[in-house]
Parts: sequence; structure tokens; C-alpha cells
Amino acid sequence: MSFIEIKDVHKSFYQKEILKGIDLTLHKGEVIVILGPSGSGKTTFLRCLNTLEQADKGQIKINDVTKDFTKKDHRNTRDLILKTAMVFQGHALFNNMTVLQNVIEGLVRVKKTPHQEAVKIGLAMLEKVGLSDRADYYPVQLSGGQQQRAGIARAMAMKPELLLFDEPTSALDPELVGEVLSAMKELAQEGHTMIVVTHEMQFAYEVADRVLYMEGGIVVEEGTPQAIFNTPQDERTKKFLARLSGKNFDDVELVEV
Amino acid sequence: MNFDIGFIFQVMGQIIRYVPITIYMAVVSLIIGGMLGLVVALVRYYKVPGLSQLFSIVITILKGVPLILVFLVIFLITSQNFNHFAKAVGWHIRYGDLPMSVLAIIGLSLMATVGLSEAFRGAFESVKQVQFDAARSLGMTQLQTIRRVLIPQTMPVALPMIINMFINLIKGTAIASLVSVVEIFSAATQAASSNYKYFEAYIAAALIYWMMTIVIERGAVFLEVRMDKKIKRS
Ligand SMILES: Nc1ncnc2c1ncn2[C@@H]1O[C@H](COP(=O)(O)OP(=O)(O)OP(=O)(O)O)[C@@H](O)[C@H]1O
Ligand SMILES: [Mg+2]
Repeated sequence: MSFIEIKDVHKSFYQKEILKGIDLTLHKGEVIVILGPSGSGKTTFLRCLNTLEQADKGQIKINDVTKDFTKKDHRNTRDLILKTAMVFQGHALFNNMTVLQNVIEGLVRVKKTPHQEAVKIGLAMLEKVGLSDRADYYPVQLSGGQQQRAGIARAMAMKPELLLFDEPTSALDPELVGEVLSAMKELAQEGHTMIVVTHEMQFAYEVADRVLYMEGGIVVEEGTPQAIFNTPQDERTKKFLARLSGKNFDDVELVEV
Repeated sequence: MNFDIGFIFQVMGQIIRYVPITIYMAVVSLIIGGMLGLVVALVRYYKVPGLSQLFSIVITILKGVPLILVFLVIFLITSQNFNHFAKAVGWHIRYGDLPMSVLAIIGLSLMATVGLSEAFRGAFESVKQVQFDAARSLGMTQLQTIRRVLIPQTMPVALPMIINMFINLIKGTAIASLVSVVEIFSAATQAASSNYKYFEAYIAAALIYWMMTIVIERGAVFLEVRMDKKIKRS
């Protein structure tokens, strides 16, 4: 049995079906990159996985926790939330707390970790993302890239079994993208299980084990990055990649459309 | 009519004793109004079914009524019913025994609740929504999110309006003289009752109110500077 099994996730907003049944299984340590045009439901999918959005149907199993999205069970929901952690597009740090306070908040308030121990974990996480010297800064005193790295440290401090990234670099100035992607790459190499929504093709190519192409609320095509980028099968995937490569994918060799 | 500067200072000397009762009424009302206002704002922000609509109606009504009417209504209701009520529940106090400042505090607290609930609601809107998603994804409960994230970020934004309300409450205490609380305004009136130098007496009262306001505003600037360090880029 796989480490993570996501089955038949459906979600509608105002009678309009946004997710039309998404299935996905991951082994431990696998990194999935999701691509797709705006409005295809990528964010909605990630948000359903940690119940930020309540799916209309479907279930997720992570290790020993199984959650049926239609059932309201507080304990069960909480168990799921603690198995996952999410990094947002930006501005998700708590502005009233320092970077370190942000990172240990979940440990102290939710996991009831003793303060001293939490600080130790927090500092270790900040060290990992290269922010040791910014522990006592407030979010507004950081660059966008540093804020995102702090967000990653906060997510990691909770020791989740599934990490969700929703376009963590899309709101950043180009020169700040690299530092965030390399922090994520490091996590991938350490063997963390991740689902990443991003249009950074280079990252997908180097880091992803599998790439999913989503459009119109379904997974149109999936495969290794090589397969998806070099020999996409579906017309829709081809069109999308062509458009994307026109914008920010220099290496034409990789996309033969 | 000749203007008597000396009398201004004389009255100021007499009424300065009532600064503490004025501050007391204003501070207590600010605290009660602040707490109730926060509850009202939270209920409306989270759209708690039923309560949210009820509060919104009550606030709309109170907002459109002059403070002086609120005072008189409270006075009329309590003066006519308190003794019956006290007897019915077995209290051994009568209306006349109540300190009249309590009535003033009730009226001023209502005014503060209305004003501050609106101030907090506005300040809530300034808090970036994605932080609530982040809190939830960490496993924080709604109550933890309110206490740890929402309220701490609301306070610096609402502070100027809280200070403003405090100043309005100080000035609003003058209306307490209606329900025979002796405070700055009524003391000034009394001081002039023998020589009819009301003009000078009211200037004295104005100066005292004005000085209190200045002290509060100075203090507020100091507080704001300290808070800003955290939330604004240096
Ligand atoms: N809370 C909501 N209420 C109503 N409609 C919503 C809500 N959230 C998302 N939608 C709709 O669902 C659709 C999918 O949105 P979603 O944010 O998941 O797309 P996305 O693939 O993440 O797009 P992008 O690349 O622009 O981030 C959109 O049409 C959006 O308008
Ligand atoms: Mg999105």
C-alpha cells in the first residue's frame, strides 16, 4: 500500500464543479509537481487536502490517518492537519510575531512542546533555510524570499508527513526565486514527501519525480518530468507547455512541440 | 461686564479635584466598552448566526442617538424601576444609595461599545486573510487564532481610534452632571453660582479638559511609536 493515497476529490463552488475527481498516490519521499493554467483548480486541490476547503467528496490516507472529506469528525480532521503543512504564496507569516516566534507557534500552542525545546527546534529549522541571523526580525523587516523561507521553516517545524506548496515563488521578484527553490530542493533531497504547485520548469525538471498536468478540474496527463516536458501526449498539455516556454523556459531543447 | 482672569485660576484650583473622578469614569467606561466592543466586533466579523444580526441592529440604533438621550433614557428607566427590582430580588439598597457615577458609566460604556466595535471591525479588515489559513494549517484553533494573531494585529491599527474614544469619553463625562454626579463641569457651574461669573468658570473647565486631552495625546504618540517599531519597516 502506498504511503499517501488521495481518492476521487470533488469540489464545487456555487454549483460549478472545480475539481472533478482527482486521484493521486505518493510513496514516501516522492515529489510531485502540479502544472496547469490559471483556474484549473490547483490551489483548490491543495486546500482540500488539508481541509482549508471542505471537499464535497473524496478521501485521503496519510500513513495511519484516513480522512473521509464528507465526514465531520473534529479529531480526525485535526490528525490530518497535523500530518500536513502548507507553504502559501506569500504574506502568510504572522506579522505580530518575530520569525522565531512564527516558527515555534505551532509547536508551543498546538503540539504543546515545552518552550525551550521548541526554540531549539525552531532555530535548527531557521538554520536549515539560512535564516539564523534573522530569528528576531519581524516579517516586514524581511525580503519576500526570506519571508518564504521562514514560511518553509514554520511548516517544517511541525514535522509533517506531507508538505504542500502553492506557488511559493510566484509572488517574488525574479532574483529572489532561486533561494526559495534551493531551500525546497534541499527538503526534497532529504526525503520529504511534497506536492508542489509551481510553474518553475527547471525546478520541476530537476526535483520532481512526477509531473501532473491539470486542466478543467481533472488530471489531464502525468508522468516523469522528461516524459511530460519532452514528449507530452495530450494536445492540451502541448499547448500549455508551448505557452509557458514562450515566457520563461529558455531551454527549447527540452520542449519539443 | 469685566473679565476676571484671577477668578479663572481660582476656579481651576477648585475643580482640579474632580479630575480623578472624571478620569475614573472615562477609564472604566473605556475598559467596559472596549471589551464589549471587541465581543460585538468578533461576533459580527465571524458572522455568528443570530447574534450578528441582533448586534448590527442594536449598534445601528445606538449610533444614531445623541449620548444625552441615552443618558436620560437610562436615568428614567432605572429611577422608576430600580426600587421595585431591588425589592423583588431581595437587595437591601435603594436607588438613592447608588452612586450616580454608575449611571454615567453605563451610558458612557454604551457609547464606547458602539464606537469601538466599529473601530475594531475596521481594524480586523486590515489583517491579511492568508494568516488565518496559515494558523489553521498549523492546527491552531479559532480561539487561538483570535488571541494570538487577530487581536494583537488589530490593536496597533485601532489604537488611534481608542485614544480618540478616550478623549470623547472624558468630554462626555460632562453629561454626567445631568444625573447629578459632581465632576469638572458641574463643579465649575457651582463655583460661579454665587458671583455669576459663568464665563470665567467655563473657561477654567475648558482649560482643564484641554490639558487632560493634551496629556492623553502625548501618551498616545509615545505608545504608537513603540508599537510601530514592530509592524512597520524601519
Ligand atoms: N472560495 C471560492 N469561492 C468561489 N470560487 C472559488 C473559490 N476558490 C476558488 N474558486 C474558483 O475555482 C476555480 C479554481 O481556482 P483555483 O484557485 O483552485 O485555481 P488555480 O489553478 O490555483 O489557479 P491559479 O493558477 O490562478 O492560482 C476558479 O475559477 C476560482 O474562481
Ligand atoms: Mg492557485
